[in-house]
Amino acid sequence: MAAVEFQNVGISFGNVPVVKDLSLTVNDGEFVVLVGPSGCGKSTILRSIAGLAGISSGDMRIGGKRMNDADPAARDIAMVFQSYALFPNMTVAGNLGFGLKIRGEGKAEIDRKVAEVAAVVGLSDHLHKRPGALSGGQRQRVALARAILRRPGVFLFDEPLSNLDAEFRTAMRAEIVRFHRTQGASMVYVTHDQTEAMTMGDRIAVLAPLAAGHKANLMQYGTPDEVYHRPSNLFVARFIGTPRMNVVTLPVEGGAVHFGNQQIDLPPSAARLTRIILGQRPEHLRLSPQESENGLTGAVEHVENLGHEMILTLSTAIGPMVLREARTGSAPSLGQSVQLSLDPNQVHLFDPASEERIGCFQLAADSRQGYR
Amino acid sequence: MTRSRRATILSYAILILAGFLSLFPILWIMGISLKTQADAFAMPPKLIFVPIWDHYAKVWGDAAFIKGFFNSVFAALLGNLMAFVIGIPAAFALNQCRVPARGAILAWLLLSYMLPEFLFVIPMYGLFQATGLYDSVFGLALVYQTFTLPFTIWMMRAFFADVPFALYEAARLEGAKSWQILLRVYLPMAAPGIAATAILNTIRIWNELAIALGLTFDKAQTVTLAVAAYRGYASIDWGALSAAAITSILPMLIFAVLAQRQIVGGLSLGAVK
Repeated sequence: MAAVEFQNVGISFGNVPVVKDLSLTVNDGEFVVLVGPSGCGKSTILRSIAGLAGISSGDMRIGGKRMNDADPAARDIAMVFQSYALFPNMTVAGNLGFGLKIRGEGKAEIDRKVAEVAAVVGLSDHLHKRPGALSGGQRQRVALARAILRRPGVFLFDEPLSNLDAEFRTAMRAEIVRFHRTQGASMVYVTHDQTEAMTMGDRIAVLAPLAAGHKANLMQYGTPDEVYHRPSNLFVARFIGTPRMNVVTLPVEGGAVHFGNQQIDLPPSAARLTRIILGQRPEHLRLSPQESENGLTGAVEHVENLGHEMILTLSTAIGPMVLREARTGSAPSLGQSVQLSLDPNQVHLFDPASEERIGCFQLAADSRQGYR
Repeated sequence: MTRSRRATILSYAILILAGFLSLFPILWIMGISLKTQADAFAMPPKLIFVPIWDHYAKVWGDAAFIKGFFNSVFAALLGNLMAFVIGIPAAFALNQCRVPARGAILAWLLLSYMLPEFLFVIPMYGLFQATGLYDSVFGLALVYQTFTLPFTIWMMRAFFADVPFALYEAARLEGAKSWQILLRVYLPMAAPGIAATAILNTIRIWNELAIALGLTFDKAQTVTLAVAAYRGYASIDWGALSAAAITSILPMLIFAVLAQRQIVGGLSLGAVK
C-alpha cells in the first residue's frame, strides 16, 4: 500500500492555481524529495499532506484512505517545520510532551516517553532548557523527537536544513538519512537545494512553477540517477546539476547538427525538425588539444579554481559554455583560445517546441548515428 | 559651533521645555496641596514655604473620597477582566480564523474607540435606569468596554500576529483545539503585551470622568468625581481639591513608572517583525 498517493490533485488559492494535475505516489518506507525553485508548489503539496493547505480537486490518500478533508491531527503524519516551530515558552520536555498532554496521557507515561525519545536523539541533558538556549542542531533534534513521539506513518520535512550553516547542514543531512534507515518510515522532504535532493532521496520529484507557463508542476519523478542522467525535459536538465547543463539551440542540416565542426547525426524522429536543443553537462565537455580538428573553438572568460577541479566559462560562437574538469597541471589563462568537444555518450537532445527529451545521443566512432 | 552640537542643544532645549510644560501643572497642584490658603494664592508665588499636611488629612479621612478611590480600583479590575475575557478570544479569532467582514469589524472597533466617551452616556442612561445598572461599578465597567474592548482587541491582535503561525500549525498537528492553542501557546507568549494592555486600560479607566458623571450618583462614584466634589457651589476648597487630585494621580504615576518597560515593550512588540 502506498504511504501517500496523489491522484490528479489541484490546489488553488482563490482563483490562482498553485498545483495542477499532480499524480504522484510515495511508497511505504520510501524517502521522497520534492525539489524545485520558489513558487513551484513543493511546500504547498507538503502542507496538503499535513492538512494545512486545502485540496481543490483530485484525491490525496494516506495509507490508502482518502484524506482530503481529514483533520490534520487524524492523518497519521508528523511534520518538521523549516523554523522547527518549537514553543518558546516551554522547556524541551514541555515541547516533547505537548502532544501527549493534549491527547490526555498521564504524567508518568508522558515523562517516560519523553525520556525515551530524548535518549534516542541525544537530548537527555537538555530537557530542562528552553528552545532559545539550544543550538540550531539541538532544536532540529527536538523537532525530530517531537515528530517521532507521534509514531506517524509518514514524516514530513519542510526545508529543515535551510536555517543551518553549510558545515552543519552536511552533518544534519547525514543524520536525517540515518534516521530514515533506522526508522524505516515513509518520508516526504521538501527542499530547494538540489544537493540535498540528490543525496537524500530514494526518488526525487522535480517541480516547476505554474506561473512560469508550465502546464503542470511535476516535471519528472525518478531516482537521482534518472533525473540527473536522463532528464525528461529541459527544465529538469537545467535545474538539476551544478553548474547547470550547457544548452544550445542548433539548426538541423541534413539530419544532423554541428557542434563547431563535430557532427552529431540525429535519430529519424528528430531529423525532421528544423532546429534542436542540444545539452551536455559541464563535466562531460572536453578540452581538446589545440591541434584537434574536432569541436568548437572558445575563449576562456572566467576560471574558478576549486583546488581539486576547475570550472571554466568560455565564450564561443554559439554562446557561453561552462566546463568542469579535474585539476591537472595549470589552469588555462584568461582569454586563451581552447577547443571544446562533446562527450559522445552524454549528449542530451530536446524538442525546441515542447522542450521534451528526444534522447541521450551516442556518437559511434565512425560518426554513424546511435540512439539510446 | 558645529551643526551636530547645535542640534543636540536644540533637542535638549525642546525636551526640557516639554518636560517643564508636562510637570509644571502637577508640581503647582502639589504646591497648593501643601500650602495654606494664603500661601497658595500669594503674589508673587511663594516658592519657599512651610508645608502643611492638613489637606491630605482631610482627604484621607473623607469616607466619600475613599469610597470613590476604591470604586475606581474595582472598576479598573472589572473593566480589564471584561475586556480580556471577550477581547482575547476575539483577537485570536480575528487573526486565525476566516471571519467574514473582518475589515469592517476592525474598522467599527476603531471607530468605537475614537468616539468621545460622553456619546455613550445618553443612550445608556435610560437603559441603565431600567435595568438597575445605574450607579453601579458593574455598569460602569460595562460601558467602559466602549474603549477598553476595541483597544484590547487591537493590541492583542498585534501581539498574536507576532507569534509565528507555524506554532499554531504545529500545535494543530499535535491535536490541539483552537482554545488549547490560545491558552497554552499564544497567551504565554503574549504575556508582556497583555501586561502593557492592562496597564494602559487601567490608566484610561482611572482617569475617566464623563461616563462616571453621567451614569453614577453616589454609590458608584469614581475617584475623578470624588476629586471634583471638592468644588462646591459657592466656594472651592483648593487645598483639599489639590490634595485629592495628587492622591488620585499617585497610583497611576507609580504604576506607569514601574511598568514603563512593559508599556514601551508591549507597544513596540507588534511594530517590528
